[in-house]
Amino acid sequence: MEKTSRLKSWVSGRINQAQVDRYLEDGRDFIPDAELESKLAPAPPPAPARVREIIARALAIQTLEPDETADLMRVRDPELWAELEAAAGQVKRKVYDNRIVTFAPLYLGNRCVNNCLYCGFRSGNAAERRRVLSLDEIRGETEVLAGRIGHKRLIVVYGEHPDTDVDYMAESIRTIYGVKVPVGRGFGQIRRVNVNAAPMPVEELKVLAEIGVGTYQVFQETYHRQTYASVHPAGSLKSDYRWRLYSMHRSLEAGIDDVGLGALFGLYDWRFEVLGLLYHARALEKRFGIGPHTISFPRLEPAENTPFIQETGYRVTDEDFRKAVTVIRLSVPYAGMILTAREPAPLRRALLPLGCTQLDASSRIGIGAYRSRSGEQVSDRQQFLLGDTRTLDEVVRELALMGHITSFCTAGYRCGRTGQCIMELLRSGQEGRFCKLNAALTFQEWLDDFATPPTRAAGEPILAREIEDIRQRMPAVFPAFMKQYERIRQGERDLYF
Amino acid sequence: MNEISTSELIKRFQRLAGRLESKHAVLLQLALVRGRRWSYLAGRMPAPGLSPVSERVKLGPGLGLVVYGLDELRPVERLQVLKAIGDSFAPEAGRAVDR
Repeated sequence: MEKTSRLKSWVSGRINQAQVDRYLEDGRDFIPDAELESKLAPAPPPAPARVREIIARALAIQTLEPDETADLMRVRDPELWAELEAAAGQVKRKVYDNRIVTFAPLYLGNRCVNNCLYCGFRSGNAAERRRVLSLDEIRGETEVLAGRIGHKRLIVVYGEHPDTDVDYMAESIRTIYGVKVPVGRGFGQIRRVNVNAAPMPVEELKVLAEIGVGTYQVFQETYHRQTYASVHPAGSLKSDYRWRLYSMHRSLEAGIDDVGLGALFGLYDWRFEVLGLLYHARALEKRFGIGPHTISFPRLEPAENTPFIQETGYRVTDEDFRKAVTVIRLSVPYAGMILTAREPAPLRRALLPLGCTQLDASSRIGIGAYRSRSGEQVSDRQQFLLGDTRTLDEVVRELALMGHITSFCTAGYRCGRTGQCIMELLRSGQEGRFCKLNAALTFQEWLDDFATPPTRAAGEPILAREIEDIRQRMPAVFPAFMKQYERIRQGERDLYF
Repeated sequence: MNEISTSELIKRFQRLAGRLESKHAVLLQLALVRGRRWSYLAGRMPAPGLSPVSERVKLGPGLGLVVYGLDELRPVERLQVLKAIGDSFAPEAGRAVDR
Protein backbone atom coordinates (compact mmCIF):
# COMPACT_ATOMS: atom_id res chain seq x y z
CA MET A 1 0.00 0.00 0.00
CA GLU A 2 2.75 2.40 1.08
CA LYS A 3 4.76 1.35 -1.97
CA THR A 4 1.83 2.06 -4.28
CA SER A 5 1.23 5.50 -2.85
CA ARG A 6 4.96 6.29 -3.13
CA LEU A 7 4.88 5.35 -6.79
CA LYS A 8 1.71 7.33 -7.40
CA SER A 9 3.15 10.38 -5.75
CA TRP A 10 6.37 10.13 -7.79
CA VAL A 11 4.45 9.68 -11.04
CA SER A 12 2.06 12.54 -10.37
CA GLY A 13 4.87 15.10 -10.10
CA ARG A 14 6.82 14.11 -13.18
CA ILE A 15 5.27 16.06 -16.03
CA ASN A 16 5.75 19.80 -16.21
CA GLN A 17 3.25 20.93 -18.82
CA ALA A 18 4.79 24.39 -19.13
CA GLN A 19 7.98 22.74 -20.41
CA VAL A 20 5.96 21.35 -23.30
CA ASP A 21 3.64 24.24 -23.97
CA ARG A 22 6.39 26.77 -24.47
CA TYR A 23 7.54 24.93 -27.56
CA LEU A 24 4.13 24.56 -29.21
CA GLU A 25 3.26 26.81 -32.13
CA ASP A 26 -0.36 27.97 -32.00
CA GLY A 27 -0.99 25.06 -29.68
CA ARG A 28 0.34 22.56 -32.21
CA ASP A 29 3.36 20.28 -31.99
CA PHE A 30 5.67 19.47 -34.87
CA ILE A 31 4.00 16.20 -35.92
CA PRO A 32 0.97 17.18 -38.05
CA ASP A 33 -0.49 13.69 -38.41
CA ALA A 34 -2.79 14.47 -41.33
CA GLU A 35 0.04 16.13 -43.25
CA LEU A 36 2.26 13.09 -42.76
CA GLU A 37 -0.52 10.74 -43.82
CA SER A 38 -1.20 12.84 -46.91
CA LYS A 39 2.46 12.70 -47.92
CA LEU A 40 2.28 8.92 -47.71
CA ALA A 41 -0.96 8.61 -49.65
CA PRO A 42 -0.81 6.40 -52.75
CA ALA A 43 0.72 8.24 -55.69
CA PRO A 44 2.77 7.31 -58.75
CA PRO A 45 6.47 6.70 -58.17
CA PRO A 46 8.71 9.75 -58.72
CA ALA A 47 10.53 10.14 -62.01
CA PRO A 48 14.16 9.04 -61.97
CA ALA A 49 15.29 12.62 -62.57
CA ARG A 50 13.45 13.75 -59.44
CA VAL A 51 15.02 10.93 -57.42
CA ARG A 52 18.47 11.91 -58.63
CA GLU A 53 17.85 15.54 -57.68
CA ILE A 54 17.02 14.39 -54.17
CA ILE A 55 20.12 12.22 -54.06
CA ALA A 56 22.19 15.25 -55.03
CA ARG A 57 20.77 17.21 -52.09
CA ALA A 58 21.60 14.37 -49.70
CA LEU A 59 25.12 14.19 -51.10
CA ALA A 60 25.44 17.90 -50.38
CA ILE A 61 24.64 16.93 -46.74
CA GLN A 62 21.39 18.86 -46.76
CA THR A 63 18.48 17.68 -44.62
CA LEU A 64 15.73 16.60 -47.00
CA GLU A 65 12.28 18.16 -47.25
CA PRO A 66 9.41 15.89 -46.14
CA ASP A 67 8.11 15.69 -49.73
CA GLU A 68 11.51 14.49 -50.87
CA THR A 69 11.68 11.78 -48.23
CA ALA A 70 8.14 10.70 -49.06
CA ASP A 71 9.06 10.51 -52.74
CA LEU A 72 12.05 8.29 -51.99
CA MET A 73 9.76 5.87 -50.16
CA ARG A 74 7.56 5.69 -53.29
CA VAL A 75 10.34 4.41 -55.52
CA ARG A 76 9.45 1.01 -57.01
CA ASP A 77 12.14 0.45 -59.61
CA PRO A 78 14.80 -1.94 -58.17
CA GLU A 79 17.52 -0.20 -60.17
CA LEU A 80 16.60 3.15 -58.64
CA TRP A 81 16.66 1.54 -55.22
CA ALA A 82 20.14 0.30 -55.98
CA GLU A 83 21.11 3.91 -56.80
CA LEU A 84 19.59 5.08 -53.53
CA GLU A 85 21.52 2.47 -51.56
CA ALA A 86 24.75 3.39 -53.30
CA ALA A 87 24.10 7.05 -52.53
CA ALA A 88 23.40 6.25 -48.89
CA GLY A 89 26.80 4.58 -48.65
CA GLN A 90 28.40 7.58 -50.37
CA VAL A 91 26.80 10.00 -47.92
CA LYS A 92 28.12 7.97 -45.03
CA ARG A 93 31.64 7.87 -46.44
CA LYS A 94 31.56 11.60 -47.17
CA VAL A 95 30.73 12.43 -43.56
CA TYR A 96 32.21 9.49 -41.64
CA ASP A 97 34.61 7.84 -44.13
CA ASN A 98 35.24 4.16 -43.33
CA ARG A 99 34.94 4.58 -39.56
CA ILE A 100 32.54 2.62 -37.38
CA VAL A 101 32.08 3.49 -33.72
CA THR A 102 31.33 0.72 -31.25
CA PHE A 103 29.63 0.82 -27.88
CA ALA A 104 27.81 -1.40 -25.41
CA PRO A 105 24.46 -1.03 -23.70
CA LEU A 106 24.43 -1.25 -19.92
CA TYR A 107 21.01 -1.81 -18.41
CA LEU A 108 21.00 -0.65 -14.82
CA GLY A 109 17.49 -1.48 -13.72
CA ASN A 110 14.29 -3.01 -15.03
CA ARG A 111 11.80 -1.53 -12.61
CA CYS A 112 9.33 0.60 -14.52
CA VAL A 113 6.11 2.43 -13.74
CA ASN A 114 4.90 2.13 -17.33
CA ASN A 115 3.00 -0.71 -18.91
CA CYS A 116 3.87 -0.47 -22.62
CA LEU A 117 2.34 -3.40 -24.46
CA TYR A 118 5.47 -4.25 -26.46
CA CYS A 119 8.02 -4.13 -23.62
CA GLY A 120 9.31 -6.95 -21.45
CA PHE A 121 9.97 -4.46 -18.62
CA ARG A 122 6.32 -3.31 -18.47
CA SER A 123 4.95 -3.13 -14.96
CA GLY A 124 2.25 -5.70 -15.67
CA ASN A 125 4.73 -8.38 -16.74
CA ALA A 126 4.83 -10.71 -13.74
CA ALA A 127 7.33 -13.00 -15.47
CA GLU A 128 10.07 -10.36 -15.30
CA ARG A 129 12.51 -10.55 -12.37
CA ARG A 130 13.06 -6.97 -11.15
CA ARG A 131 16.38 -5.58 -10.13
CA VAL A 132 18.32 -2.33 -9.83
CA LEU A 133 22.10 -2.55 -9.73
CA SER A 134 23.94 -1.25 -6.67
CA LEU A 135 26.91 1.05 -7.20
CA ASP A 136 29.25 -1.86 -6.41
CA GLU A 137 27.53 -3.95 -9.03
CA ILE A 138 27.80 -1.11 -11.54
CA ARG A 139 31.50 -0.91 -10.78
CA GLY A 140 31.75 -4.66 -11.42
CA GLU A 141 29.89 -4.43 -14.72
CA THR A 142 32.06 -1.52 -15.83
CA GLU A 143 35.22 -3.43 -14.96
CA VAL A 144 34.17 -6.16 -17.36
CA LEU A 145 33.13 -3.72 -20.09
CA ALA A 146 36.20 -1.49 -19.86
CA GLY A 147 38.75 -3.95 -18.53
CA ARG A 148 37.95 -7.24 -20.19
CA ILE A 149 36.05 -6.36 -23.37
CA GLY A 150 37.67 -3.00 -24.08
CA HIS A 151 34.70 -0.71 -24.57
CA LYS A 152 35.25 3.04 -24.23
CA ARG A 153 31.67 4.12 -24.81
CA LEU A 154 28.46 2.99 -23.12
CA ILE A 155 24.79 3.69 -23.42
CA VAL A 156 23.28 3.36 -19.97
CA VAL A 157 19.61 2.39 -19.89
CA TYR A 158 17.16 2.98 -17.06
CA GLY A 159 13.53 2.07 -16.51
CA GLU A 160 11.24 4.93 -15.51
CA HIS A 161 10.97 4.41 -11.79
CA PRO A 162 11.79 6.28 -8.56
CA ASP A 163 14.46 3.65 -7.78
CA THR A 164 16.32 4.78 -10.90
CA ASP A 165 15.59 8.49 -10.64
CA VAL A 166 17.96 11.26 -11.63
CA ASP A 167 19.97 10.99 -8.41
CA TYR A 168 20.55 7.32 -9.07
CA MET A 169 21.44 8.13 -12.68
CA ALA A 170 23.96 10.74 -11.55
CA GLU A 171 25.59 8.39 -9.04
CA SER A 172 25.69 5.51 -11.48
CA ILE A 173 27.31 7.61 -14.22
CA ARG A 174 29.87 9.04 -11.79
CA THR A 175 30.64 5.48 -10.72
CA ILE A 176 31.16 4.36 -14.31
CA TYR A 177 33.42 7.32 -15.12
CA GLY A 178 35.44 6.54 -11.98
CA VAL A 179 36.42 2.99 -12.98
CA LYS A 180 39.96 2.56 -14.31
CA VAL A 181 41.23 -0.98 -14.91
CA PRO A 182 44.88 -1.90 -15.65
CA VAL A 183 44.97 -3.84 -18.92
CA GLY A 184 47.57 -4.85 -21.49
CA ARG A 185 49.96 -1.95 -21.89
CA GLY A 186 47.59 0.68 -20.53
CA PHE A 187 44.28 0.93 -18.74
CA GLY A 188 40.67 0.39 -19.58
CA GLN A 189 38.19 3.17 -18.94
CA ILE A 190 34.76 4.24 -20.12
CA ARG A 191 35.28 7.66 -21.68
CA ARG A 192 31.82 8.51 -22.88
CA VAL A 193 28.56 7.59 -21.17
CA ASN A 194 25.48 8.16 -23.30
CA VAL A 195 22.11 7.98 -21.61
CA ASN A 196 18.88 6.34 -22.72
CA ALA A 197 16.25 7.27 -20.19
CA ALA A 198 12.69 8.42 -19.85
CA PRO A 199 11.75 12.04 -20.57
CA MET A 200 12.86 14.36 -17.82
CA PRO A 201 12.15 17.93 -16.82
CA VAL A 202 14.78 20.57 -17.54
CA GLU A 203 15.90 20.73 -13.89
CA GLU A 204 16.80 17.03 -13.91
CA LEU A 205 18.44 17.24 -17.31
CA LYS A 206 20.67 19.96 -15.90
CA VAL A 207 21.81 17.45 -13.26
CA LEU A 208 22.84 15.08 -16.05
CA ALA A 209 24.46 17.94 -17.93
CA GLU A 210 26.56 18.81 -14.88
CA ILE A 211 28.04 15.30 -14.76
CA GLY A 212 29.17 15.54 -18.37
CA VAL A 213 27.17 12.87 -20.16
CA GLY A 214 27.63 12.18 -23.85
CA THR A 215 24.42 11.92 -25.85
CA TYR A 216 20.95 11.91 -24.30
CA GLN A 217 18.54 9.61 -26.12
CA VAL A 218 14.80 9.32 -25.86
CA PHE A 219 13.04 7.27 -28.52
CA GLN A 220 9.55 8.38 -29.41
CA GLU A 221 8.72 4.68 -30.07
CA THR A 222 6.01 5.70 -32.57
CA TYR A 223 5.27 9.13 -33.99
CA HIS A 224 1.75 7.99 -34.87
CA ARG A 225 -0.43 9.50 -32.16
CA GLN A 226 -3.25 6.97 -32.29
CA THR A 227 -0.87 4.02 -32.16
CA TYR A 228 1.07 5.74 -29.39
CA ALA A 229 -2.12 5.97 -27.37
CA SER A 230 -3.01 2.35 -28.00
CA VAL A 231 0.33 0.85 -26.87
CA HIS A 232 0.88 3.14 -23.88
CA PRO A 233 -2.11 2.66 -21.58
CA ALA A 234 -3.94 5.83 -20.67
CA GLY A 235 -2.97 7.28 -17.33
CA SER A 236 0.56 5.88 -17.42
CA LEU A 237 3.41 8.38 -17.44
CA LYS A 238 4.48 7.31 -20.87
CA SER A 239 1.02 7.88 -22.32
CA ASP A 240 1.76 11.60 -22.61
CA TYR A 241 2.86 11.84 -26.25
CA ARG A 242 4.00 15.45 -26.15
CA TRP A 243 5.99 15.14 -22.93
CA ARG A 244 8.06 12.55 -24.74
CA LEU A 245 8.08 14.42 -28.06
CA TYR A 246 9.76 17.48 -26.53
CA SER A 247 12.38 15.58 -24.51
CA MET A 248 15.12 16.61 -26.88
CA HIS A 249 14.03 20.24 -26.81
CA ARG A 250 14.34 20.20 -23.03
CA SER A 251 17.69 18.46 -23.25
CA LEU A 252 19.08 21.15 -25.52
CA GLU A 253 17.60 23.80 -23.26
CA ALA A 254 19.35 22.16 -20.29
CA GLY A 255 22.73 22.26 -22.03
CA ILE A 256 23.07 18.65 -23.23
CA ASP A 257 23.65 19.55 -26.83
CA ASP A 258 24.10 16.06 -28.26
CA VAL A 259 20.75 14.35 -28.58
CA GLY A 260 19.65 11.03 -30.06
CA LEU A 261 16.33 10.29 -31.75
CA GLY A 262 14.76 6.91 -32.35
CA ALA A 263 11.60 5.08 -33.28
CA LEU A 264 10.66 1.51 -32.58
CA PHE A 265 9.93 0.03 -35.99
CA GLY A 266 6.99 -2.36 -36.00
CA LEU A 267 4.44 -0.42 -33.99
CA TYR A 268 3.04 1.40 -37.03
CA ASP A 269 3.75 1.88 -40.76
CA TRP A 270 7.53 2.16 -41.10
CA ARG A 271 7.18 4.96 -43.65
CA PHE A 272 5.30 7.11 -41.13
CA GLU A 273 8.08 6.56 -38.57
CA VAL A 274 10.74 7.58 -41.10
CA LEU A 275 8.83 10.80 -41.80
CA GLY A 276 8.33 11.32 -38.06
CA LEU A 277 12.08 11.11 -37.47
CA LEU A 278 12.65 13.62 -40.26
CA TYR A 279 10.06 16.05 -38.86
CA HIS A 280 11.69 15.70 -35.45
CA ALA A 281 15.17 16.42 -36.82
CA ARG A 282 13.88 19.43 -38.73
CA ALA A 283 12.04 20.78 -35.67
CA LEU A 284 15.26 20.67 -33.65
CA GLU A 285 17.24 22.28 -36.46
CA LYS A 286 14.65 25.05 -36.76
CA ARG A 287 14.47 25.77 -33.03
CA PHE A 288 18.10 25.30 -31.97
CA GLY A 289 20.17 25.06 -35.13
CA ILE A 290 21.17 21.62 -33.87
CA GLY A 291 19.86 18.36 -35.29
CA PRO A 292 20.16 14.87 -33.84
CA HIS A 293 23.64 13.57 -33.10
CA THR A 294 22.33 10.06 -33.73
CA ILE A 295 19.24 8.29 -35.00
CA SER A 296 18.31 4.79 -33.84
CA PHE A 297 15.84 2.52 -35.61
CA PRO A 298 15.32 -0.59 -33.49
CA ARG A 299 12.82 -3.15 -34.69
CA LEU A 300 10.42 -4.90 -32.38
CA GLU A 301 11.93 -8.13 -31.10
CA PRO A 302 10.43 -10.99 -29.09
CA ALA A 303 10.30 -10.45 -25.33
CA GLU A 304 9.36 -12.69 -22.41
CA ASN A 305 5.59 -13.01 -21.94
CA THR A 306 4.84 -10.20 -24.44
CA PRO A 307 2.32 -11.50 -26.98
CA PHE A 308 1.70 -8.04 -28.50
CA ILE A 309 4.88 -8.44 -30.55
CA GLN A 310 3.53 -11.48 -32.36
CA GLU A 311 0.16 -9.80 -32.87
CA THR A 312 1.13 -6.42 -34.31
CA GLY A 313 0.24 -5.96 -37.95
CA TYR A 314 3.19 -3.67 -38.65
CA ARG A 315 6.19 -5.98 -38.29
CA VAL A 316 8.82 -4.63 -40.70
CA THR A 317 10.21 -7.12 -43.19
CA ASP A 318 13.96 -7.21 -43.83
CA GLU A 319 13.33 -5.76 -47.28
CA ASP A 320 11.37 -2.79 -45.93
CA PHE A 321 13.85 -2.33 -43.11
CA ARG A 322 16.59 -2.00 -45.69
CA LYS A 323 14.57 0.72 -47.40
CA ALA A 324 13.94 2.49 -44.11
CA VAL A 325 17.66 2.55 -43.27
CA THR A 326 18.52 3.86 -46.74
CA VAL A 327 15.95 6.64 -46.63
CA ILE A 328 16.86 7.73 -43.09
CA ARG A 329 20.52 7.94 -44.17
CA LEU A 330 19.65 10.15 -47.12
CA SER A 331 17.09 12.27 -45.25
CA VAL A 332 19.30 13.33 -42.33
CA PRO A 333 22.73 12.94 -43.90
CA TYR A 334 24.84 14.35 -41.06
CA ALA A 335 23.43 12.21 -38.25
CA GLY A 336 25.14 9.14 -36.83
CA MET A 337 23.05 6.00 -37.39
CA ILE A 338 22.95 3.26 -34.79
CA LEU A 339 22.35 -0.32 -35.89
CA THR A 340 21.93 -2.40 -32.77
CA ALA A 341 22.49 -6.04 -31.91
CA ARG A 342 18.75 -6.56 -31.93
CA GLU A 343 19.38 -7.50 -35.55
CA PRO A 344 21.11 -10.77 -36.44
CA ALA A 345 24.71 -10.65 -37.65
CA PRO A 346 24.00 -11.38 -41.34
CA LEU A 347 21.46 -8.57 -41.54
CA ARG A 348 23.78 -6.14 -39.75
CA ARG A 349 26.47 -7.06 -42.23
CA ALA A 350 24.04 -6.33 -45.08
CA LEU A 351 22.78 -3.02 -43.65
CA LEU A 352 26.13 -1.57 -42.67
CA PRO A 353 27.02 -0.36 -46.19
CA LEU A 354 23.78 1.63 -46.30
CA GLY A 355 25.25 4.27 -44.05
CA CYS A 356 25.24 3.00 -40.49
CA THR A 357 27.92 4.53 -38.29
CA GLN A 358 27.61 2.84 -34.90
CA LEU A 359 27.29 -0.77 -33.75
CA ASP A 360 27.09 -2.31 -30.32
CA ALA A 361 29.01 -5.50 -29.65
CA SER A 362 29.52 -8.00 -26.82
CA SER A 363 26.11 -6.73 -25.79
CA ARG A 364 24.28 -8.15 -22.80
CA ILE A 365 21.02 -6.57 -21.88
CA GLY A 366 20.13 -8.59 -18.80
CA ILE A 367 20.47 -6.64 -15.58
CA GLY A 368 23.94 -7.46 -14.20
CA ALA A 369 24.65 -9.75 -17.16
CA TYR A 370 28.18 -8.69 -18.02
CA ARG A 371 29.62 -10.26 -14.90
CA SER A 372 27.73 -13.46 -15.52
CA ARG A 373 30.05 -15.72 -17.50
CA SER A 374 27.38 -17.93 -19.03
CA GLY A 375 26.98 -15.80 -22.16
CA GLU A 376 23.40 -16.93 -22.50
CA GLN A 377 20.49 -14.55 -22.80
CA VAL A 378 18.17 -14.53 -19.79
CA SER A 379 14.72 -13.70 -21.14
CA ASP A 380 13.17 -12.88 -17.77
CA ARG A 381 15.81 -10.24 -17.06
CA GLN A 382 15.89 -8.67 -20.54
CA GLN A 383 13.71 -6.14 -22.30
CA PHE A 384 13.83 -8.26 -25.49
CA LEU A 385 16.07 -10.90 -27.09
CA LEU A 386 19.21 -9.97 -29.03
CA GLY A 387 19.87 -11.16 -32.57
CA ASP A 388 23.65 -10.70 -32.54
CA THR A 389 25.63 -11.87 -29.51
CA ARG A 390 29.10 -11.73 -31.08
CA THR A 391 31.99 -10.36 -29.06
CA LEU A 392 33.54 -6.96 -29.68
CA ASP A 393 36.70 -8.75 -30.80
CA GLU A 394 34.76 -10.69 -33.43
CA VAL A 395 32.95 -7.60 -34.66
CA VAL A 396 36.14 -5.53 -34.87
CA ARG A 397 37.78 -8.32 -36.85
CA GLU A 398 34.89 -8.58 -39.26
CA LEU A 399 34.79 -4.81 -39.72
CA ALA A 400 38.50 -4.79 -40.49
CA LEU A 401 38.06 -7.54 -43.06
CA MET A 402 35.28 -5.45 -44.64
CA GLY A 403 37.65 -2.45 -44.85
CA HIS A 404 36.31 -0.48 -41.87
CA ILE A 405 38.38 0.92 -39.04
CA THR A 406 36.73 0.65 -35.63
CA SER A 407 36.92 3.99 -33.89
CA PHE A 408 37.02 4.13 -30.12
CA CYS A 409 37.22 7.90 -30.27
CA THR A 410 35.40 9.82 -27.57
CA ALA A 411 37.17 13.12 -28.10
CA GLY A 412 34.52 15.34 -29.68
CA TYR A 413 32.44 16.10 -26.61
CA ARG A 414 35.59 16.73 -24.58
CA CYS A 415 36.86 19.34 -27.05
CA GLY A 416 33.82 21.50 -27.70
CA ARG A 417 32.85 19.68 -30.88
CA THR A 418 29.21 19.50 -29.86
CA GLY A 419 25.92 21.13 -30.78
CA GLN A 420 26.18 23.73 -33.53
CA CYS A 421 29.90 23.18 -33.86
CA ILE A 422 29.63 19.48 -34.63
CA MET A 423 26.69 20.15 -36.95
CA GLU A 424 28.72 22.56 -39.02
CA LEU A 425 31.77 20.31 -39.02
CA LEU A 426 29.72 17.28 -40.09
CA ARG A 427 27.87 19.15 -42.81
CA SER A 428 31.09 20.54 -44.23
CA GLY A 429 32.97 17.25 -43.98
CA GLN A 430 35.47 18.85 -41.60
CA GLU A 431 34.80 16.63 -38.60
CA GLY A 432 36.42 13.79 -40.47
CA ARG A 433 39.81 15.47 -40.09
CA PHE A 434 39.62 15.05 -36.33
CA CYS A 435 37.93 11.67 -36.35
CA LYS A 436 40.40 10.13 -38.75
CA LEU A 437 43.32 10.94 -36.46
CA ASN A 438 41.49 9.85 -33.33
CA ALA A 439 40.24 6.63 -34.90
CA ALA A 440 43.80 5.62 -35.73
CA LEU A 441 45.08 6.47 -32.25
CA THR A 442 42.30 4.66 -30.41
CA PHE A 443 42.36 1.66 -32.72
CA GLN A 444 46.07 1.17 -32.03
CA GLU A 445 45.31 1.45 -28.33
CA TRP A 446 42.60 -1.18 -28.55
CA LEU A 447 44.71 -3.56 -30.65
CA ASP A 448 47.51 -3.30 -28.09
CA ASP A 449 45.28 -3.83 -25.07
CA PHE A 450 42.46 -6.14 -26.13
CA ALA A 451 42.73 -7.74 -29.56
CA THR A 452 43.15 -11.48 -30.00
CA PRO A 453 45.94 -12.47 -32.42
CA PRO A 454 43.59 -13.02 -35.40
CA THR A 455 41.88 -9.68 -34.82
CA ARG A 456 45.21 -7.96 -34.50
CA ALA A 457 46.29 -9.56 -37.75
CA ALA A 458 43.13 -8.31 -39.45
CA GLY A 459 43.33 -4.85 -37.89
CA GLU A 460 46.96 -3.94 -38.49
CA PRO A 461 46.73 -3.65 -42.30
CA ILE A 462 43.70 -1.37 -41.94
CA LEU A 463 45.58 0.79 -39.47
CA ALA A 464 48.65 0.94 -41.71
CA ARG A 465 46.41 2.05 -44.58
CA GLU A 466 44.84 4.74 -42.40
CA ILE A 467 48.20 6.09 -41.32
CA GLU A 468 49.38 6.24 -44.91
CA ASP A 469 46.14 8.02 -45.82
CA ILE A 470 46.74 10.57 -43.06
CA ARG A 471 50.29 11.11 -44.32
CA GLN A 472 49.06 11.77 -47.84
CA ARG A 473 45.89 13.72 -47.14
CA MET A 474 47.00 15.69 -44.08
CA PRO A 475 50.75 16.23 -44.52
CA ALA A 476 50.84 19.33 -42.32
CA VAL A 477 49.45 17.53 -39.31
CA PHE A 478 51.17 14.20 -39.91
CA PRO A 479 54.20 14.93 -37.68
CA ALA A 480 51.92 15.91 -34.76
CA PHE A 481 49.85 12.81 -35.34
CA MET A 482 52.90 10.56 -35.38
CA LYS A 483 54.14 12.08 -32.16
CA GLN A 484 50.87 11.13 -30.45
CA TYR A 485 50.84 7.76 -32.17
CA GLU A 486 54.31 6.89 -30.89
CA ARG A 487 53.28 7.85 -27.37
CA ILE A 488 50.34 5.46 -27.68
CA ARG A 489 52.70 2.74 -28.87
CA GLN A 490 54.81 3.37 -25.78
CA GLY A 491 51.79 2.75 -23.53
CA GLU A 492 50.30 6.21 -22.98
CA ARG A 493 46.54 6.24 -23.23
CA ASP A 494 43.65 8.55 -24.06
CA LEU A 495 45.54 10.98 -26.29
CA TYR A 496 43.40 12.78 -28.83
CA PHE A 497 42.94 15.71 -31.18
CA MET B 1 32.03 38.83 -8.18
CA ASN B 2 29.45 40.54 -10.37
CA GLU B 3 27.27 38.33 -12.58
CA ILE B 4 27.48 39.01 -16.30
CA SER B 5 25.09 37.76 -18.94
CA THR B 6 26.00 35.09 -21.45
CA SER B 7 25.61 37.54 -24.31
CA GLU B 8 28.03 39.95 -22.61
CA LEU B 9 30.46 37.08 -22.10
CA ILE B 10 30.21 36.07 -25.73
CA LYS B 11 30.79 39.63 -26.87
CA ARG B 12 33.93 39.80 -24.74
CA PHE B 13 35.03 36.44 -26.11
CA GLN B 14 34.47 37.57 -29.69
CA ARG B 15 36.55 40.67 -29.19
CA LEU B 16 39.40 38.61 -27.80
CA ALA B 17 39.08 35.89 -30.45
CA GLY B 18 39.13 38.45 -33.25
CA ARG B 19 42.18 40.17 -31.80
CA LEU B 20 44.15 36.97 -31.27
CA GLU B 21 43.18 35.55 -34.62
CA SER B 22 44.41 38.58 -36.54
CA LYS B 23 47.57 38.99 -34.47
CA HIS B 24 48.63 35.37 -33.86
CA ALA B 25 46.56 33.29 -36.34
CA VAL B 26 45.02 31.22 -33.56
CA LEU B 27 41.35 30.28 -33.49
CA LEU B 28 39.36 30.32 -30.26
CA GLN B 29 36.12 28.63 -29.28
CA LEU B 30 34.29 29.26 -26.06
CA ALA B 31 32.89 26.20 -24.26
CA LEU B 32 30.77 25.43 -21.25
CA VAL B 33 32.56 22.85 -19.14
CA ARG B 34 30.38 20.24 -17.45
CA GLY B 35 32.38 17.39 -15.99
CA ARG B 36 34.34 16.02 -18.90
CA ARG B 37 31.95 17.59 -21.39
CA TRP B 38 33.03 20.76 -23.17
CA SER B 39 29.92 22.09 -24.93
CA TYR B 40 30.41 24.54 -27.74
CA LEU B 41 29.14 28.02 -26.98
CA ALA B 42 30.73 30.41 -29.48
CA GLY B 43 33.55 30.88 -31.94
CA ARG B 44 34.35 30.17 -35.54
CA MET B 45 34.87 26.66 -36.90
CA PRO B 46 38.40 25.57 -37.71
CA ALA B 47 38.96 26.12 -41.43
CA PRO B 48 40.19 23.22 -43.56
CA GLY B 49 43.72 24.62 -43.71
CA LEU B 50 44.07 25.03 -39.94
CA SER B 51 45.84 22.39 -37.89
CA PRO B 52 43.35 20.19 -36.01
CA VAL B 53 45.63 20.25 -32.97
CA SER B 54 43.83 22.09 -30.20
CA GLU B 55 44.54 22.90 -26.60
CA ARG B 56 41.98 23.43 -23.92
CA VAL B 57 42.36 26.30 -21.51
CA LYS B 58 40.17 26.07 -18.46
CA LEU B 59 38.96 29.44 -17.28
CA GLY B 60 37.16 28.09 -14.23
CA PRO B 61 34.90 25.20 -13.28
CA GLY B 62 32.22 26.12 -15.82
CA LEU B 63 34.02 27.73 -18.70
CA GLY B 64 36.83 26.93 -21.06
CA LEU B 65 38.48 27.87 -24.31
CA VAL B 66 39.48 25.52 -27.10
CA VAL B 67 42.43 27.08 -28.89
CA TYR B 68 43.61 25.95 -32.32
CA GLY B 69 46.99 26.93 -33.62
CA LEU B 70 48.87 27.32 -30.34
CA ASP B 71 51.14 24.44 -31.28
CA GLU B 72 52.41 26.39 -34.28
CA LEU B 73 53.50 29.45 -32.30
CA ARG B 74 56.94 30.27 -30.93
CA PRO B 75 57.08 29.83 -27.13
CA VAL B 76 57.14 33.58 -26.53
CA GLU B 77 54.13 34.14 -28.75
CA ARG B 78 52.29 31.26 -27.12
CA LEU B 79 52.81 32.92 -23.74
CA GLN B 80 51.44 36.17 -25.13
CA VAL B 81 48.28 34.41 -26.25
CA LEU B 82 47.80 32.69 -22.90
CA LYS B 83 48.39 35.95 -21.08
CA ALA B 84 45.81 37.73 -23.24
CA ILE B 85 43.30 34.99 -22.44
CA GLY B 86 44.03 35.27 -18.72
CA ASP B 87 43.69 39.06 -18.82
CA SER B 88 40.35 38.87 -20.59
CA PHE B 89 38.73 36.08 -18.67
CA ALA B 90 40.24 36.09 -15.19
CA PRO B 91 37.07 37.68 -13.72
CA GLU B 92 35.01 34.71 -14.90
CA ALA B 93 37.36 32.04 -13.61
CA GLY B 94 35.77 29.83 -11.01
CA ARG B 95 32.18 30.52 -12.01
CA ALA B 96 29.76 28.48 -14.06
CA VAL B 97 27.78 30.16 -16.81
CA ASP B 98 24.26 29.18 -17.80
CA ARG B 99 23.07 29.25 -21.34
